[in-house]
Amino acid sequence: MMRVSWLLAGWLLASPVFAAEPATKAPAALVDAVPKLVTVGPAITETVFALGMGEKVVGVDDTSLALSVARGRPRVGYLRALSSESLLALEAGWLLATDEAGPPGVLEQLRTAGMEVVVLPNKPTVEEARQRIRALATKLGRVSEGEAVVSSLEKDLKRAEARAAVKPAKPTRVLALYARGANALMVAGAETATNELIRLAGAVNAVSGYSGHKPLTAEAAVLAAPDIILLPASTLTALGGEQGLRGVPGLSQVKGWKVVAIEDVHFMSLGPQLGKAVHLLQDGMGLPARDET
Amino acid sequence: MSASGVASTPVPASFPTREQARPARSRPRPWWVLGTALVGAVVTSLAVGSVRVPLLGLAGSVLEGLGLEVGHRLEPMQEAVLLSIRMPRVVLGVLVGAVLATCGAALQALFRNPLVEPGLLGTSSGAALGAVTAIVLDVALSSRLGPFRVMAVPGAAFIGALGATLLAQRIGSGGGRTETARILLSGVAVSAGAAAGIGLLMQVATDAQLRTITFWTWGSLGGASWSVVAASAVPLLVALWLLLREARSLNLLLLGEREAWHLGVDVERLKRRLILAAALGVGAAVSVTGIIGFVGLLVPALLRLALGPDHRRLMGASALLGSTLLVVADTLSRTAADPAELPVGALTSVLGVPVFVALLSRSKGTV
Repeated sequence: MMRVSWLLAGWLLASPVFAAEPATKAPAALVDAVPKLVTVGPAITETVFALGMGEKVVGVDDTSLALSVARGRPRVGYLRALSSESLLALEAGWLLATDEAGPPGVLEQLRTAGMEVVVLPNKPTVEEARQRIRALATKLGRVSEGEAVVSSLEKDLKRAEARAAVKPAKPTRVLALYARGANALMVAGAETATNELIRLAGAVNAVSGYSGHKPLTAEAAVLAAPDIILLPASTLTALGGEQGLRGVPGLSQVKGWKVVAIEDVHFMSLGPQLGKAVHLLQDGMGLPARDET
Repeated sequence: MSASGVASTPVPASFPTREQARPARSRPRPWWVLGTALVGAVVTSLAVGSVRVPLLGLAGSVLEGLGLEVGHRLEPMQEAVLLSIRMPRVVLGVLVGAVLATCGAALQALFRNPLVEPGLLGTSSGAALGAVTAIVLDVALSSRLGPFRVMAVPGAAFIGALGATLLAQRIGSGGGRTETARILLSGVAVSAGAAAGIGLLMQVATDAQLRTITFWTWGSLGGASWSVVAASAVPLLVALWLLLREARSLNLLLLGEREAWHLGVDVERLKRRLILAAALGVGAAVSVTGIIGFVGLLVPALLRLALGPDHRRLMGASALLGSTLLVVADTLSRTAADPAELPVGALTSVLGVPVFVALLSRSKGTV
């Protein structure tokens, strides 16, 4: 065991990761200073690609595969059930992961095997989303690109805020659903990424009184009386489109709602594209578009 | 009253080859077969996985460790995978497999029923209740525990396992005599109570906690590390030793409780010791790997069909075969569906059931 740690120490010191931080050099040199990456969690994967470091990504978790940019990359499994060996086999230097990644023992094993494991929080707030972009940008030596991503996000959110300023007589009620499996529809409550999207769009969550996700019951659906049903595109397809959604017990009893489908990743975390999702929801709410001058 | 007819010397670990009464059913030396199978399983498990560990490099590294430079050696990463990921996993598999199977063998003898498994005494569900409680209370616990946070779930599982088993035994031994049927019934009741508790806790669990809970109830050796092995090895080995030394008494118990008593076995104490040892072993096993079913039920029943009912063989053989089954199942679990890991409990069943059915349909004797 002792010998292994010496070997590791030597290898780590010799690796370019610990070389002095290069000042803003040619991008090529920068890209070389970053080892191969495995990204776990859609917000992290999306941010790394947005920072122009997608070519360094040699593996992503299953939830990140919903992103079009990450399609076709090697999989490292489900984010809560990573397997240490398949991850190590990709020979990446860094694992950039959301704090949902696990199991804990596996992260420990990866550190032991010489990978640098960076864990970032996944609290569903805009502030946290900004922090995450900046933290990753700093880590990858792409600070200016990071600021560009943040400011484009800010612009989207500013426009959304302007659109939401027009208050309807009564607030739009949004019910956010996703399918956790066949016949297992879950509803997003408080303290979820979806809840934050609804707030940013200027609507209200049709369910209240709990945080996290809870199974949808027919009576709760009737009580929620939603104007809009927000769901991931994959869930809508799985249910058989809007027709299938109208057949869901409870929702079949409520009249007059509209469907808004957004990309799956927005249901899991607030990534750099969260502003776009807010606008999609606002389009569904029928808010007039406003162009910021 | 001492039974002078039966010598009370402890049974030696190696088994004398005796002419069996039923030559058709006996295989004089199953140890070679079982031992070889275990060694094969261990070596295979160390050799395969997503990270390729070349044999030449491995040999080179071993020789270098002995002071011979040969030019070939493993990369640091390969060495780390071998030493800090695969090895602890295999060691844990060997220990847990042996304990689960031996517990099963002992309990089946105690209750004289081939369908008994360690979970029936409430041990597994008690452990699950402890673990789930710790997972759901995680936020409250984590700030107080600091570095011991890693041990919170296994520790709670272990306490839950012991607590549930003791409770089942207490309920089952009304009036000072331990009725086996009563213990089984109270075990079922305790299990049901624990399951209800888990169901209620799952209602208040967050999304993230739910996923941890399901991961835990599938059973997995994925989190194995040397610290986990070190923490669990003591209770596992103690349980194994406590069970293996009761082989002779278990043989006598097969004659019936009164007959065993007349032959000098203190049946009441034996029952208590066995149940506690099983709770210790299964509790320690479940607390580090989650619930891995079937090993404790299948391995001893299968070996009883193959080797006959002599527990002086059956216990040791169960330990070896249990280890082998779990190590093979775990190897499959991490390679078959790479990069996902399959639940190891499902694989133990997949591997065991066909063999079991084949043996059962061939055997003419009683189970």
